[in-house]
Formats: sequence, structure tokens, C-alpha cells
Amino acid sequence: MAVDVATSSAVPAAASPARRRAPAPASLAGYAFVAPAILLMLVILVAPVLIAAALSFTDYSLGNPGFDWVGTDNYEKMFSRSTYTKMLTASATYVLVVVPGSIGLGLGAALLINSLKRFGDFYKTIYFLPVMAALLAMAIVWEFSLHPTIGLVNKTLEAGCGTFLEQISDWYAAGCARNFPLWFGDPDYAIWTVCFIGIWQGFGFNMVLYLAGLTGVPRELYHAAAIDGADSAWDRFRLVTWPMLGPTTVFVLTITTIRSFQVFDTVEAITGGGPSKSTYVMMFAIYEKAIKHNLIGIGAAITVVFLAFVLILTFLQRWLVERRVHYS
Amino acid sequence: MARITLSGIEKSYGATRVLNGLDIDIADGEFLTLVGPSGCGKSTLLRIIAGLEHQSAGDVAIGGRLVNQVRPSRRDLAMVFQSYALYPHLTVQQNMETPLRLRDLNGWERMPLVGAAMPGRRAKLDTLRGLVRETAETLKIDHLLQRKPGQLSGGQRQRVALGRAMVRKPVAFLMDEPLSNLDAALRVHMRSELAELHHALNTTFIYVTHDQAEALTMSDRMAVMMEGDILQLGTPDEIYLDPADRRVAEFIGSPRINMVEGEADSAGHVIAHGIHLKRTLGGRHKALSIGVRPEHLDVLPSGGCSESWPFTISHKENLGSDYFLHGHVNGGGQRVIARAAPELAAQVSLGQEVHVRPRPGKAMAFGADNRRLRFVET
Repeated sequence: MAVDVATSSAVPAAASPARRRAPAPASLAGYAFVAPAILLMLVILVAPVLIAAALSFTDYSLGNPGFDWVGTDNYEKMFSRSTYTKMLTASATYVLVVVPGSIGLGLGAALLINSLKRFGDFYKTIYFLPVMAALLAMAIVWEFSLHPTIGLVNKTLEAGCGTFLEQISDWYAAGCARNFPLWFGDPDYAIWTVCFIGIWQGFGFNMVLYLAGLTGVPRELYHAAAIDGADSAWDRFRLVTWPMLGPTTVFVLTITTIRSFQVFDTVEAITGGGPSKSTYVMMFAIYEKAIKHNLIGIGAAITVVFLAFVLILTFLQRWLVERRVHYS
Repeated sequence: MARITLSGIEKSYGATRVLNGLDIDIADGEFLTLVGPSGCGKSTLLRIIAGLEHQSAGDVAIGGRLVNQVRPSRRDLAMVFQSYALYPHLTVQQNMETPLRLRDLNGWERMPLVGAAMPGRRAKLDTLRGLVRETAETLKIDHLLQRKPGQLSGGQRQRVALGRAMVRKPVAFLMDEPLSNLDAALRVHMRSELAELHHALNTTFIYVTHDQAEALTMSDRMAVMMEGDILQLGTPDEIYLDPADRRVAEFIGSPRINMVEGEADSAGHVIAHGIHLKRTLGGRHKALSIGVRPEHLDVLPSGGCSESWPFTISHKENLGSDYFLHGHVNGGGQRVIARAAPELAAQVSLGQEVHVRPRPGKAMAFGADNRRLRFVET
């Protein structure tokens, strides 16, 4: 409505140069109409980000009467201190493992379920269960299962000691000789275990998105491919399925990456960022610095870096969508 | 080029039978059209020939070779789909190359990175690019080769789909309603172009359509299908002028053939809506239908005769070259359409009662079981 008012008044104003200098009253009315929406948008959506960005250049703590500008100190700390290097490493590892892992598994599961004539709904429900269950609750289950002494996983592994498994794997033999890994307690294993839980939890969601994408692939394209000589499943996948899933993949990739950057519950519930900061992911770092230690400045700086990552990814998606995967 | 023989083709989906044992022998280089209303099984039959579906019973032979167990790609057929089914992410050039690449390059040569290193690949690619260019020039789409299907108009996509089919020189073309997504003017234009293409390629065409005009204008022979059966197989002239079944007569021809209820006495004299036909049938028929095509009804504006029906005009349809007069005979509910020249149509007005007379020798009789009843030759 407001736009209509503004444009309809702009047409005669442009037509007669004499009236161009003073804005017509109707045009002001147009701005007045959009003002509340713009104001709300600025206050609710943009202002918090700007405030966080401003705070990232200070040493502010909640409750302090004032603060000092510290320039880029917080950012310099982030890229020089080992804690934050570990944070970036942990987050990057998590994203780089969980994103391909859960997308690959999700796509594979979707393709398999799509090829089923029966029981498709059964598998869909099962694979979607981890997505529906609260990650915090499931984290506790995993903590029990992966407990070094009483956990189901290590008990099962111990049962295999003394069999041929010891001969074929040095890792297994070493586990039997000493002990099997402390899944969450060993810095060499903890981040990978957290990644595993991330994939386990996330791939069902990607599967559902891919299943939806697969229903949109025209059957006639498969018929054309069959006539053209795409006889193997791989040829059909490369010629039809994968290109037609392009838009879905871009969406899945963005969503999964953002969700991976945001991982928090598993870390908070099980490892607490340890051992020796090996699972100290960004979300957890923000929480620890800004909320627990009340270091708002550094917390804000991490938030800004976090937002920058997410924004870059979103723009990358827009660019990809326009460039590559929408064919019409 | 090859002869295609279908014998005893049956197809069922669960308990539903869609094809009831069809036999067709398609000659080398023939343009055969399968025509029928939607759901008659014509597309299913085409997909069975292509190998995209398997028949429940019966045999498909191409060039004397039984192909029941042969993959679609090995049958050496090409297909044009109603939606064109072009690969949207590939350019026109790549779309047309696809069947050649899949046929002529081996698995290694098609690999994304490894392929480039394979010896002999360049030469093969050059050959097939040459073939694509040649075909594109024939179809006058060589200026579109670098575009993607999304940037083309319907008619251009149609040509690309044809090009993709032509490029590997198949033994036969299968076309599944290829013109139905085009606008009316382009459809008429493409009809003649397809017929010319068939003439130039001299290859077998099997063409599926629900549009009787396409069937009549393009085919050497046409098969009228309904409910999983072929009702009649013959040249367009035979089908139009000498239909063997009431449903064929009604499906082919636009506007539809007029059907008037009638009966024949024991001597075979036919009475239809009060008029006696000159010719006789073999025997007594209680209920029959007399079919007369609109162009075989003469309009008599001035007065009737013993062989004419009184006809009240309710609508005049102007086609420019002709008028179609819609109306009712004998004041009954039966709607009848007669064709009239514009000069004649100018003389009559809406609501006026005139007479229409079936042109001698043109009326056709159909029995209650839809079968054609032949008049006794005199």
C-alpha cells in the first residue's frame, strides 16, 4: 500500500520538472506509512547485531558502570591466543566433518529409500528419530554408551579381544592390551566422537530434504536417459539425479553448515569444551566467555566472527543459486 | 531403418488390463500414428516398444530381432517426449552430445578428470561434435548450441529434442505427443515440418497423439486405439471415409460425425428420423445409428424433399472458408451439424427452419454393438 502511494505520486512529479524539488505530500505520507515497519526492523533485527559489533571493540562486562575502547584487541587475541586457535580448529573440524558426512549419508539414505517399493515410511521414521529427539537427551544416552568402563561400546569391543580381530588390526590389539579409547576424555578422540554424534543427529533431516527434492525430478528425464544409453545407476545419477538435486543440495549445504557452526548441546552436556579445549567450538566459547565469565567484549568478538562466517555462507548460497543450479 | 513387429502385446497393472493383445506390423520407413483418447493405452504401447516398460505378454521384434530382453538403449531407437525431457543443466550442444557420448565413449573416457587423459578421446569427441553440428544445421538450431533449455522457446526446445533423437541415426523414432505443448499455430507448422523430416530421413516413425488432426495429416497409416484395443488400422483415408466402428467414426473428424437414431425393417429398408434411405441393409435391425459427416449434409434453404430432415438452426459457426450450422432435426433433442458454403449460410438466419439431406451414398450405418453395418451393394 505504502509503496503504491509513493510510486503513484512519483510519476507526475517526474513528469513536470518544476515540481521535482519539493517532495509531494503524498510521497511523505508513503514514508510515514513504512516508517513503523522500518523502525521495528532496525530496532529488533539490525540494532542487536550493531551493538554486538560495537561491544566487540570494548572490554565491557555486564554490571560495570562503563567500559574502555580497546580497538581490535579482542580480535587480535582471537587469532593469536592458543585457546581461540583451538576454538577455530574445533569449529572448523566439526563443520568440515559433519557437513559432508551428514549430507552424504542423507543423500544415500534418500536414494535408497526412494528406490524401495515397500517399507519406505518405516525407514523414514527410523532415520528421522534422532532429529526429533532432543539432542541434549540423546547426548546423555551417548555419554553412557561411550563410557570408557561401563559403556556398551567398549564392553562390546572388549568381547572381541582374543579373536581374529586382534590380528587384523593393530589398533584393536592395542586396545585389548591396554584399554579402549576414552571416547570423550582423550583429546585425540573427543572431537571426532562429537562429530559422529553430529552426523548421527543431522543426517535424517538432510534425508527428508533430499526425499522432497527427489519427488521433483521428472520421470521423463530418467526415461530419456535410459533411451540415451545411461544404463548404469552411476550414469543415471550423474546425468539426471545429481544435477536435478542441485537446488536441494545448495539449501541442504547452507542449513547444515549453519547448524554445524551452531553446535552447542553435545559439547555442553558431555565434554564441556575439553579435554584440553579439543571440543571448544565457537558457540560454546561464546557461552563460556560472555555468560559464564562475563567477558562481554571477547564474547561479542567471537559472535561477530561467527556471524561473518554465516553471512559469507549465505551470500555464497545466493550466488550459487543464481549462477549454477536453477536452470530456467 | 527397420521393420517393427508387435505380436500379442498385453499389459496389465495388477488387475487392470490396459492392452489386450495387440498385433501391429510396422513397415520400414513407415509413419504410423497411434491415436486415441487419453487412457487408451497408446503411450503404454509406445513405452513398451521403447523398452521403458515391459509387456505382460507378447513379443516386440525390431528388424527381425526379438528385443523383449534388450535394454532401451540397445534397441537403437530414439524417443521424443511430450515435455521434451531435455537435461536442463546442459547446453543444447551437450544435450545433443549425450546419447553419442554414452554410446561411443567408454566408462573411463566419461570420467570427469581421468577421462581427459585417456588416449583417443579427443578424436572421438571431435567426431561426435561434427555429428551434432551437422544435425543442428539440418534443424536450423546451430545458433542455439551454447544456450541452455531454459533460455529457449517451446518450439526451439522441440527442435532440440528432435535433434537429440536424430543425432545418433536410430532405426526408428518414437514420438509421444511431441506437439501438444506448443501453441496452435506452431503445432500446425510443426506438423508439416515433421512430415517433411520423415520424408527426408526415410526412417520409421511411430507417433502417439490424441489429436486426430495430427494423425490424419501426417501418417502413412494410423491405428485408432480405445480401451486397450486397436479398433481400426489403416490409411487416414480409409479411417476417415470408411470407419469400421462407430467409436472410430466419432473420434476421427472435426466437428464430430452426426449420429441419427434409426431402424431397419425386415426387408432392410432404413428409416432414420422419418426419412427413408435409398440403400438397404442385409436384414432387420431394431436399433441402429446413421452417421453422416457434416460436409455430407446438404443444406436446402428453400424446401425439403422426401429424403431430407427439417432442420432448425440454433447456431452459426463462422470459420471463414465455411460455416458450420448447428441445429436440431425434426424438432428433436438431437444436435446435428451441417457444413455450408458462406454464400448459402448468408441466406439463412438463426431460428429458421430449413432442410438437410444426406448426400447419396455417404451415410454410414452402425449397429447397437458399435460395429459398422454395410449397405447391400446395388
